Amino acid sequence: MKSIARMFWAEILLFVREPFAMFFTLLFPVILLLLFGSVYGHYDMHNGFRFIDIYIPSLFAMVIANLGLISIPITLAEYRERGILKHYQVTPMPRFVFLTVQVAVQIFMFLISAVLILIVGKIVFNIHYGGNLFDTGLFLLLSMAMLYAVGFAVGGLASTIRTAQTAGMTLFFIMFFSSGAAIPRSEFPEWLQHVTDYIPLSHVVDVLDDLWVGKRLIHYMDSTILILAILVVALIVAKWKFRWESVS
Amino acid sequence: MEPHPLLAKANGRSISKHCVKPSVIEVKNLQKRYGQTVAVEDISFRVETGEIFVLVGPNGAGKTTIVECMEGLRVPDGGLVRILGLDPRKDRARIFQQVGVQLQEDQLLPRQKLIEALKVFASFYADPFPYKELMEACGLSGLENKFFGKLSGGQKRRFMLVLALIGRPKLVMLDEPTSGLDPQARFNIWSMLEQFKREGMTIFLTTHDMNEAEEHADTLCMVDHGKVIAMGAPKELLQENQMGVMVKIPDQRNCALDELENIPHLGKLEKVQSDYLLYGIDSEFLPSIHRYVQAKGIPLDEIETRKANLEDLYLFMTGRVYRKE
Repeated sequence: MKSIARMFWAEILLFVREPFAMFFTLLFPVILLLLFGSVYGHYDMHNGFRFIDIYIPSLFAMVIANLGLISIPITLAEYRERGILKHYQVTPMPRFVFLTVQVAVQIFMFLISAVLILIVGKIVFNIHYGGNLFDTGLFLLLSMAMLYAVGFAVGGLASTIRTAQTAGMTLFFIMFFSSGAAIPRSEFPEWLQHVTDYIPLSHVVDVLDDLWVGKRLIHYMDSTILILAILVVALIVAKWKFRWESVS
Repeated sequence: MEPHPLLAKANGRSISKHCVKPSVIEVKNLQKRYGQTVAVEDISFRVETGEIFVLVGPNGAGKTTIVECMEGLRVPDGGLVRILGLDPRKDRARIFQQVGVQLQEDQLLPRQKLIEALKVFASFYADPFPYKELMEACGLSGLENKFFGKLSGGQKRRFMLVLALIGRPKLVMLDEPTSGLDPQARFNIWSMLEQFKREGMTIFLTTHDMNEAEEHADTLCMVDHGKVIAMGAPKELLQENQMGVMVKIPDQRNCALDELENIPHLGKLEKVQSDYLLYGIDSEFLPSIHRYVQAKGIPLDEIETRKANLEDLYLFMTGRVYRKE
């Protein structure tokens, strides 16, 4: 337990000292919020909810995807390439400590980011939430599990920091722009909406948006099952491919 | 199975099954291949409580593979490894609670402060050392708030040693702990290791520095091409190989090789570039060299005589050509 706590805080400090990760986790979502909020914020979307209200969950999805698809693979590849994972192997630290801490750090950073988004959103745009907290929370957790697991799979498949970075960024930006997290998918031409139905993050964004305005999770079993399926596949790949040291 | 002849000789210890006291490290007929390449052909040795055991060998001789098999980082193709009587592939947590390891690379994130790494690593162990003492002994006190990336190469090496020692280990396994250190750092690191040895710690290390191996090793194990080529106390190894003093005679003086070979009391003879190196340990060796030199009319200022050292033995046994890594 002491190891987990000590390592958690050490990892938080390391995260905070990484400008790239800090930008995408804290600054970028706030910039998007202010930018899109000022331009489209007042558009009425649904039962009195404005664009800016349902843009909040899209930003959450963006942050989770960024942490899962970029931060996790780079961290794992960096730890492996520098031989730190190998070093941990010759200490009595149980392996789950390292993995637990990595997941905890990414969850914690999401929470910080979410709180910041909500505070800025409340102050600047007086955002509304009309959903069921349990449903939203459960679905956020599920989405996090899926995207973080994909991150572990990418981190396992990538052999170097550079490949992890490239693979993670590619996945993230494709998903970010095509899922509606950047531009709402309702603005897409119809054929593109159909194509982007196959982007996993689209399901995260769509369902989160609807949960935000008061729909219940029970009506989205298809998306939930898809996310669970990706989670399982990603976990299998991660378990199969994750190595504690660089191949030499 | 017959004990390895060199092993049986080492310090006159018996390695038969009737050995009462279990060794701190036991490596028996270790084998490891990478594809077609044989990294470790057949390695056996034992490390006893409280000794400094030094593993030496040229690059590519299989040292790191041996060490990584001992640390459980690699799976041997054959043979047996026991650390404190435990299998490093199975009892990781129990072994490393009592064994400190310094790997060959200096591995930490550059943006981590030393104090942060110290706290994390200390939390792995039941009874860690106060880090202040260790940092001081390794010449790093006052650097706790520095980033690892800002340290010099030598400081990084020493900090990894601090991390290896922080768990108050019974045994340390150090892969080239003094490489890249200046003479002051080497001196102080060795003083510290000798102090830990006096307190009962067992120290296993690899090095390329034959001077420090000769000075500090209780047992020296020389490996090449995946096999043990010599093992024992450095002094005894030199004696066994009749390497007491070395006499260097330049080749220009047309000394024929067979003439030199027939010098009485000669131990070993080697031709290195344009010099002959003659080794001997017998008290009559130098007088007989003297007679030979006089007979040949070689001026005394052209020959060089000094005490033979471990580096001479090492180069004699492993050759002088560059090794592929």
